[in-house]
Amino acid sequence: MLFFSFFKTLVDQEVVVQLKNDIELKGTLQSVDQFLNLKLDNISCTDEEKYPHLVSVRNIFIRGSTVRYVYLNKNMVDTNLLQDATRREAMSERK
Amino acid sequence: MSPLLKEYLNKKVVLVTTSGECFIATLEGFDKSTNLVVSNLTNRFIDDDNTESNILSHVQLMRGSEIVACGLYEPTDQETAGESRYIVKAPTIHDTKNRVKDEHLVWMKVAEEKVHSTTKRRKLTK
Repeated sequence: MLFFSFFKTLVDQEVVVQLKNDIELKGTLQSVDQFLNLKLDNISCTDEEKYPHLVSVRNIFIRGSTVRYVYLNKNMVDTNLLQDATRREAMSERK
Repeated sequence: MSPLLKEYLNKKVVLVTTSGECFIATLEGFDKSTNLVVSNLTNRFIDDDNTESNILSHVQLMRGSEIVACGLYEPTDQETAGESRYIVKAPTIHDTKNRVKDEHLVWMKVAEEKVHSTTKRRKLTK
């Protein structure tokens, strides 16, 4: 559940999602669920000429299992905090 | 469970599947594993040779594991006039399978080399 919480802190920020079919979508993270399905708003495709399928789509639901990468801005992540949270989660699982 | 698709119910959506197909349909229902019930399924792009917007199926269930993305379809004015859906050649999307072409040949070669190296080693130790 750690990354679910992590993605919830990224809501309303701009991210780039690369899918396993090589499409890259830039958009504002609108919501996320427990499967890490993502909902992006105001999307734009980085290679619109090659993939014109989503030109008339602004709001999209992406199935979590088909996401390859989510690119984040460096200042969006507090790595120390994330490390602490990871340790805490690992500890609580051991009990 | 997953309420993310609720806003799309009874609206036109663009669907991308894991095999690289792209459709437009009306979303009728969904569940927590993204299985979708859709109606009036049509191809996203219409090829030059079949200019009619033929409906592929009236109602259909799509398995969640085959879904990549589902976007709300908000056509521009030009598109409601039905122009930009007519593309001479429908552009292709890759699938998500990440398959290596002729992978079995690669592994065959690996297996052959293994056999060679073990026989060589045996000769050396003798």
